Amino acid sequence: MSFPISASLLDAVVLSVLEAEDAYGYRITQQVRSKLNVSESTLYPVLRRLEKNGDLTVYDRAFDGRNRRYYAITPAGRQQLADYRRDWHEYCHGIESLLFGGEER
Amino acid sequence: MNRREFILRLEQALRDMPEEERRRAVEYYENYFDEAGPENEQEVLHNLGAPEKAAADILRDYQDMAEPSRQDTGDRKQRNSTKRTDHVRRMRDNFQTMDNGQKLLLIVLAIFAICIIAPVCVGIVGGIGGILIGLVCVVFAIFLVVPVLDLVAWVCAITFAILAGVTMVSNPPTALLSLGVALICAALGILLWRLTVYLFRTTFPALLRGIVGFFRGILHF
Repeated sequence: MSFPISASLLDAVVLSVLEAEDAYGYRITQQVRSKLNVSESTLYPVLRRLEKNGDLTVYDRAFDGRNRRYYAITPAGRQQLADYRRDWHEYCHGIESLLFGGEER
Repeated sequence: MNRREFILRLEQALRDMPEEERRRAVEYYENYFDEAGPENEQEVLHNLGAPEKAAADILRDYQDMAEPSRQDTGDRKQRNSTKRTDHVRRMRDNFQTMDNGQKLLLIVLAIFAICIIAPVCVGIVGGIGGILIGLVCVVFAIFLVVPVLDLVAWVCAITFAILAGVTMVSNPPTALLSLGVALICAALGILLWRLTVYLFRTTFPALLRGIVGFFRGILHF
């Protein structure tokens, strides 16, 4: 794609994946990669950063004789996601009116 | 390359990170391979690319967190403002996400806490204050009583000495007895005088220094 994906956008995407339900790293990656062309190694730093910022928490569940590390969104993370969504709308409207504004008029 | 090799090279590339950070990253990728399953191992390895590249991403992000100045301008601006208000924001969020019952409970608990903690605090402060005042009084009493006792001892000594002088001729045994008592009183007087001098010359300044030091300590905290 011609447009790079910024760190904030990755944060927003991961938060919205987790808004629906808690998930583990592999699953989050598959979900994001089904829509966005990011490398499989992109998301670990994002998850770690969000966790440190308090937007996510992690917990472990035994599964199939091993450990599965789940990520869950926190109230702060939800607030952050709401902020990202608002910012994204503004950004989108701005870009759209710049790119396609001529047609509207 | 296989999974083991990937993890080893990742660990090696992250050797300068704190132990905890390195462990978490390794755990993540171990987990990742587990979830993908052995049949997808080669595909995952291919998609992940070089472990050194993954490590570089982790390191860069870690350093950005440590020193926000390395972030690009837009991000930095936002992150700094977020960080400053994070604590307040989080408390507000926590409160807002509660339902009305929880909010009411929290408020009731807060009122209870104030009702119980405030008197307890008053009691503790009052108790400590009382003990301190008591100590001051005891010290003051010692400083007062010792000189007074000394004075009494000397008055007794002089009285008995006079009595001895008066009864010397008429009643020699009484006179001797009085003289003995007078000498004992004088001895006590000397002893108490030494004690008084010791108290006021040595203990009193030390006590003052101690009190001044104590209050200075409190003020410095």
